[in-house]
Amino acid sequence: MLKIMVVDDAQFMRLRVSKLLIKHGYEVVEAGDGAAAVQTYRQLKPDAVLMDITMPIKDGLTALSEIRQFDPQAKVIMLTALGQQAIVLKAMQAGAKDFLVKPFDPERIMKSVQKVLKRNYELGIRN
Amino acid sequence: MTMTQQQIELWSKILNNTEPGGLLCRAVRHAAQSLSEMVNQPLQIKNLKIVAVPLNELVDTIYDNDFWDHSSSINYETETVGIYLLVGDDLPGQAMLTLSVNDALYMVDWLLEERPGTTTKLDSLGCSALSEMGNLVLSSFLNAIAEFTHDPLRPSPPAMMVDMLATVLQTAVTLIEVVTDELIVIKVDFINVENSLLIHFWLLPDPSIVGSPQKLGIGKSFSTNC
Ligand SMILES: [Mg+2]
Repeated sequence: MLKIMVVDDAQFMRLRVSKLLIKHGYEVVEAGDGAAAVQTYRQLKPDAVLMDITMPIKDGLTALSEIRQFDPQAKVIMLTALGQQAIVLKAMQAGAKDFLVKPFDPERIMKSVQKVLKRNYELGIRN
Repeated sequence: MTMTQQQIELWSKILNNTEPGGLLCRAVRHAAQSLSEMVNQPLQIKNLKIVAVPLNELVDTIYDNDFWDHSSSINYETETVGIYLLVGDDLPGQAMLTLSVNDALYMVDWLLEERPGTTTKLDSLGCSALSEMGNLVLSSFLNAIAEFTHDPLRPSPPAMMVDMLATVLQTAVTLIEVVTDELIVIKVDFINVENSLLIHFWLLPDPSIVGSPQKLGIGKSFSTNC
């Protein structure tokens, strides 16, 4: 089963995104801030990451850079309310594979996960 | 230009661009639209006001339902949920969403996709949903402003409290360093007519940066409908 890490300081968002991913056959691990995300990534090496930007302790852009430093192949999708050109650019330069702007859109999230994993998410199998 | 001059100039541009097609209204509409999508309910924007309020009149002013033209009245007893966010460095100040606890419970049901009336008290998941709502509204507002500035504008993570509206607002004020006798208050209401839900969105430019209202060309009071 493919493992996806959901990183958001809002328990509410983690719950919604996790539910969606589990429904589509993924295993989910969660982190509530950027520092926990980096630590969990090192320990569990998830297949993809969905990450918020505005978070306490360590924000999502800093966590993205650190995860990519540890694993240059890391597949990180930013899922944030901050849809600003300058921030999208910064995230892409730091190695994000995709950038989704909240509010929560199940279809867009699943399409993006499918895209970064280059697989049909409905089949639930590795390419 | 120094950082402070840039900060003053940006607030000044926002506060003096108040026609319906202007920067402030565009940003407010963007915020309302995101919130409406988040809860999947129609929202109306009502009563955008920019007011210079003497600090010693702040409490009386916020409870003046006639002045704000509130669709449902707010009094000293109304228990209120406040969600605070610090606006980032380039636009220093506080932003806040407030709504009555009753309306907040209704909102939580929408956010959690529960039947209206399901949520009867605010637990940690409900608080998280409301905080994220605040994060989304302010972030969407800032996204629209950033389209104009081309520089990133980032808010702090949200914090929440439940108390009387006056206490909620005074807490926001103490979080910014008040050095003038007057405060600029920007307030706009988001209304769901069908369920008479009322959400206030407040912006308080940091007076230690922007100075007195007069310095920014803000008169006693200004209102518009975006
Ligand atoms: Mg967040």
